[in-house]
Amino acid sequence: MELLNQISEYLQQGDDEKVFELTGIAIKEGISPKEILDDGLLAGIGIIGKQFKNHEIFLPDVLLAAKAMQAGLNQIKPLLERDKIPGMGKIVLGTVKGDVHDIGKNLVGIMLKGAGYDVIDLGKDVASEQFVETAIIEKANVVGLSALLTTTMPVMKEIISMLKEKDPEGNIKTIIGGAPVTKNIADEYGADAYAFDAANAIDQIKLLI
Amino acid sequence: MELITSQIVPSFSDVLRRQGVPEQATIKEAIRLDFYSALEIFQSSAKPQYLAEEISKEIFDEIFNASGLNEEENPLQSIYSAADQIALFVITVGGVVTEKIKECMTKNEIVIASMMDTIASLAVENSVGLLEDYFAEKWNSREEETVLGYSPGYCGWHLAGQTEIFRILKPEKIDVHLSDSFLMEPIKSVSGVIIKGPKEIHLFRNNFQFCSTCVDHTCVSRMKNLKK
Repeated sequence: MELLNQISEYLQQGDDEKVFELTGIAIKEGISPKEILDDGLLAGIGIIGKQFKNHEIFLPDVLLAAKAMQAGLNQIKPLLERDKIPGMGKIVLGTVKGDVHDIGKNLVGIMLKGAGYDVIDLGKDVASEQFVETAIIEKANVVGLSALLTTTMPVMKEIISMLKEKDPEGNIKTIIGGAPVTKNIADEYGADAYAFDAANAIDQIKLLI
Repeated sequence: MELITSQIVPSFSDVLRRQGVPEQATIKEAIRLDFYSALEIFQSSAKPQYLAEEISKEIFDEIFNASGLNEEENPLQSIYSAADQIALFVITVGGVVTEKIKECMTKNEIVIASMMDTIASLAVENSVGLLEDYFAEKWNSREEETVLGYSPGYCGWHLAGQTEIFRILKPEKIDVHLSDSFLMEPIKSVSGVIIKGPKEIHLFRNNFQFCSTCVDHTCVSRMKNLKK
């Protein structure tokens, strides 16, 4: 559908005003919010994710597109809730205790929201117990842990162990990331997944849920 | 020395480089405009301040080893042992900057928020550079000598080292505080030591165990500059 293609195109260009305007038109024309989400917004952000992964575009371009995505999403979100269309999943995110570096984590949060996930961002320097309690209370699908310092990386292991104790069935999955984190560390810590960047985090979370 | 905001703000190209954008990349006009909006907010909200104090090599030795948590093998031990002059420092651009970044995030101005975050980080780094220049002049640093700063959290110096720096400088006076987990508030702050000595004392092989997990490797470019 031409209108939805246009939404996708303007989203890729990072034009939030156009995305907002066209999403409004699509709603007025009676296109279902699910179609607007899937064939307009998610289609556009999917292309952005691929381009970012292939180093064809860079962080500011992704953020610009995510801002446009949010402009469209804000319009259809009440309609999606009204129609009881389930989200993609619930993710609890945060930077672990002792670490205040949150740019990467924020980017993951923005891209997850853009991809239709319900994100609970606990912020930075978050106590281990808070991750576990929030994940259990909110019935989260995934807990995403971020650390930039080598000194704070071991805190992720502690949280994963605490979570396994509280959720022995393993319903809540874990994913870790951050500059010093590697796949080997993720395996060693018992994480269900490792993401090397924000776009990869979305791919990995899709596989987890 | 007085820290003036206009003297520490980074250029657009510096910000893009830090965000991983290659020089040849095409930059959208909206990104350029967001950079200038971020710069304007930063300039109106930053309140750069610093504290610095010259100390003896012996006192720094105590400060450096106080936590007992440093990497056993690290380059800094031999650097300060061969130093001629040493000063401790704490620099901040203030807490309002962080509040403005959060505000932009809440308003979905995520490009501006991200640009501001990078501008603030680079401004703090540029402030350290100005402080290095200030001490180089004050200490009459000669051509064969250099003055460089080092911070806890890098080069095997444990973050807990900040406790001793805070005990001596008392940066609470400029509204900088240290958390139980050794994190500074406001987060756009840096503490450390400035060391003057012959250029060769600052050169080391970056193959320590902790170098493999280092995220920025700024020592490489710093040492390259020294060799010029």
